[in-house]
Amino acid sequence: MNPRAGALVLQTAPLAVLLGALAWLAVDPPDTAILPPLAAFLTALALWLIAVLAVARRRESADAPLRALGDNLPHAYLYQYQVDARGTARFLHISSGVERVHGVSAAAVLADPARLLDLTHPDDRAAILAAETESQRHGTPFELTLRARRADGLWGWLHLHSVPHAADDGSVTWDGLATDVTRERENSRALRMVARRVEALLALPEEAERLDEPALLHGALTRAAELTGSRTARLYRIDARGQLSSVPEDEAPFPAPAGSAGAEALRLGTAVCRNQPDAPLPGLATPSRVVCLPVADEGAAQWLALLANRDEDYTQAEIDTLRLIVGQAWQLAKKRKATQALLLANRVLNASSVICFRWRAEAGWPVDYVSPNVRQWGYTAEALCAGRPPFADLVHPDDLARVADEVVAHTAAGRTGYLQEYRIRTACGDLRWVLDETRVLRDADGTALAYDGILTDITDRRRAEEAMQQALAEQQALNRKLEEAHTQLLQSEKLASIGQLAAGVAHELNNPLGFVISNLGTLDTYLRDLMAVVDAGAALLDEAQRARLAPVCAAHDFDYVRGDAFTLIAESREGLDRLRRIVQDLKTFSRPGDSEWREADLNQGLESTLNIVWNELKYKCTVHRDLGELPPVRCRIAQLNQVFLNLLVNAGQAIAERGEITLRTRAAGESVTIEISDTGCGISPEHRQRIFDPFFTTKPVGQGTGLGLSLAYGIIRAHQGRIEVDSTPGQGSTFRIVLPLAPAGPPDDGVVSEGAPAPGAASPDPSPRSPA
Amino acid sequence: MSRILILDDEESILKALRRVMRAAPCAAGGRTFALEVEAFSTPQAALERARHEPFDLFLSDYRMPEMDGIAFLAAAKALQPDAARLILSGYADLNALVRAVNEVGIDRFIAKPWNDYELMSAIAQSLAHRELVLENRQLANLVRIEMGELTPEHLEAQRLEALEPGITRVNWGPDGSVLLDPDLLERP
Repeated sequence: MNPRAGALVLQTAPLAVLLGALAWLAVDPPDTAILPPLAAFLTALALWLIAVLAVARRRESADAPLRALGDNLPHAYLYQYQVDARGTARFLHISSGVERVHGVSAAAVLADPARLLDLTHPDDRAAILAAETESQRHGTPFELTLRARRADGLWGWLHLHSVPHAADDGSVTWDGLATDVTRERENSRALRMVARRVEALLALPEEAERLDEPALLHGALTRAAELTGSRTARLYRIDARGQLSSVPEDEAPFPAPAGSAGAEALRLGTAVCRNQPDAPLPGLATPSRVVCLPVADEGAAQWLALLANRDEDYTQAEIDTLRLIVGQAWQLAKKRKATQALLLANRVLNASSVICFRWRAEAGWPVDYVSPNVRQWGYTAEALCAGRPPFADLVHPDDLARVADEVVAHTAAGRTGYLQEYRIRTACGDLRWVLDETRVLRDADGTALAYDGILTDITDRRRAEEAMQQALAEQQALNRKLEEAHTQLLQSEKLASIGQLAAGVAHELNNPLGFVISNLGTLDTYLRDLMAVVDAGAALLDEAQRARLAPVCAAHDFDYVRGDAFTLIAESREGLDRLRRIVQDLKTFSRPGDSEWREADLNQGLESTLNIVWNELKYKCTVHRDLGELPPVRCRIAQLNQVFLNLLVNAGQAIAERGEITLRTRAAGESVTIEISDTGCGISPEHRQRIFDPFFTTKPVGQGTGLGLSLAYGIIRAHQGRIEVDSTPGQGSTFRIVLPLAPAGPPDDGVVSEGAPAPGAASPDPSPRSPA
Repeated sequence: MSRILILDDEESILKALRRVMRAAPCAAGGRTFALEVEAFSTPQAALERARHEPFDLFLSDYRMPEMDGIAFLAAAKALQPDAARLILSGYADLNALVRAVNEVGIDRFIAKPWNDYELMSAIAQSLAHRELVLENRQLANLVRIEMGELTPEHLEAQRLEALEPGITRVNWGPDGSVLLDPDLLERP
């Protein structure tokens, strides 16, 4: 409503009531005696009122432009306040703005000046009264800023500026301007706050340098408390279980009380403000007002900052201050922690032997980063990053192509990481084996951008591995030797028992042979004696007796018998002689005492052996002897006989139906050659290199042990000779043995004697001087 | 006539040897020996015979059941030390040979199967050698008698001692008695 219209209504309302009452009296006069005086009074009153109104309107119309101006002041109002000589105070005028500022209409104030006083803050009432008195006494203007209730019901700030005018009647009138300066005060206060905040924030980095995290946070919180006018500031550390412990006072951890601002802040993860008494926290009796701020890192709160007991309510400004300062301190602490962690990591990295690289995925692998500990290789990180020398030059030339190929292959295969081992050349030319554990950095399209390599020096490991490999190889060689020796031992044990058997058999054969040969000799003598008697008898016969004897002689074919008997005996003796030789060979072959080194005729050995295996060969083989003149060879003839036996048996077994075996011996310089050829099935190329391996056999189960050739190989090697084979599958094989006439350093005859190992049991290397 | 004892566990060998010794000449160094052969197939029988009859030569097989040739020849040597000793064996074992030479002092080791001629000449040589040794000893004794180193009584005692070992020694008991058999003292 228009205030002026309101005022008019207010002013004219009593007049209208009076006129109404008069009209009621005139229309329907009550029949009483008091009517005439009442009517007269009312009429007089109405006239007075009209007069007063007229005066008022006149004055109003004179002040109207000024008052309109006053009514239009924003956030302010004009007033005329008068205290008369009796001390009665009243407003002569007050702008309508009072309603905008205080929510009280001008009319109400004009009607009751105490309304305004009531709206001022109780603490400031004394001040305004004192100022008034002072101004009245001295006639000086006064200015005052005081708190007053605003239209919204909150306390605001009002600035008063009043100039007193003293009148003749003893009254004093103040012309004043009341301005609502709440916003200005707030603004300036906010400005000051911002300035102090900035000051506090600027001080933080310096503090962060010298304080640890709790001290820094605590300092920041203290500063925030100062800025916000909080009398209480608390910092709580939150452990992994959500328990609080106050900092710096070390109290036992405790849970935040349910429903408290602290618990609420931790639950919500954001600042919580309560401008009312809150649940007490340890070290903090029931706070009147409280703001709690959780300081969180990756969701988990680590600190709880608390401000409390501010005289006024906390507003967003205070919350912001707390958040800003403590948050900044936290960020600084975090950054410092991260920096320290990075420094530590760098120190640890540099102290280790592991070298880190980053190469760009470009030609030449330019080095983006290399850990400074690369100086253990004699390079500096700066030089390597500048390409002096390029990384490719560090890789051993023999490994470079392989490394490059692998990198390309791994990259193309889309791998995110891979392992490589290669050699690195250090600045002083040493070679170091490194294990390169590389991660490939790729962009969104999968294009490789860079490679992060962790190079571990594995030289020692490689060396150990190589040494181990070598040891392994040696061990395997040793195992092989052992296996060979074992095989030979087995074979020689077998041979020894065969030898014993043969010797026993020979002995048993020798007895009958002895008497048969002897008897046949005696029989020969007897026959000659008989013939002598017969001849003598025939000589005594006369012609007739001889004629009678002739048919008898003819019937018994005497002349033929006489001639053939001696031939028969001679042939039998020849056969017996052969038998004797075979038995002799059997004994020679098996004689255990014959394992000593001595000079021997290899042709004879070959013949003896052939005699023994003849039974195996005679039905399907024709044996050709092409035996040259051989000088005596220093050897263990029993062992060589064993070799000949094995080769001859093999030759016989290679021949399926009928074939030929050729024995050829030749002497050439300081060595002799013995060749045993057959026209058998031959040896397939894939078997050729394995035939001397122990237990390798192509014969059916039961026919071959797979030991014969390996044994032969061992024996020939012990004689410092060699054994070779030429073979054409389907056409036959030739085994060639080449033996030195006198092997270097075989033991003397006396060393091996009776009781010594049987043939083949001797080590393949009789002396360390003999070549392997 | 030279007396020869042959021992082999195989009868056929014995028969063959008899034939050879009967028929083949046994001659060496211009001397021919007539042989009188006794053959045995067990060492026990042969030793029993050797206790009662003198022989000029023992020829034994080596490998036999119960007692080998060396043990037999050692026993024969104890009975008749002056007889020649030969081994005829099909078992050419170096160990056997060493034992035969060292323990028994054999004259020859002949391998089976033997050659008749070689066998006979080996026998003849052994006999000749034995005769030579005996003759030398006899001549030496004659010289010693002449030189007074030896009396004919000594010589006779040696002869008797050779015939019956121990016969020339007297065992005197503590009481002056003559002990014919010392073993009797030990019996209760």
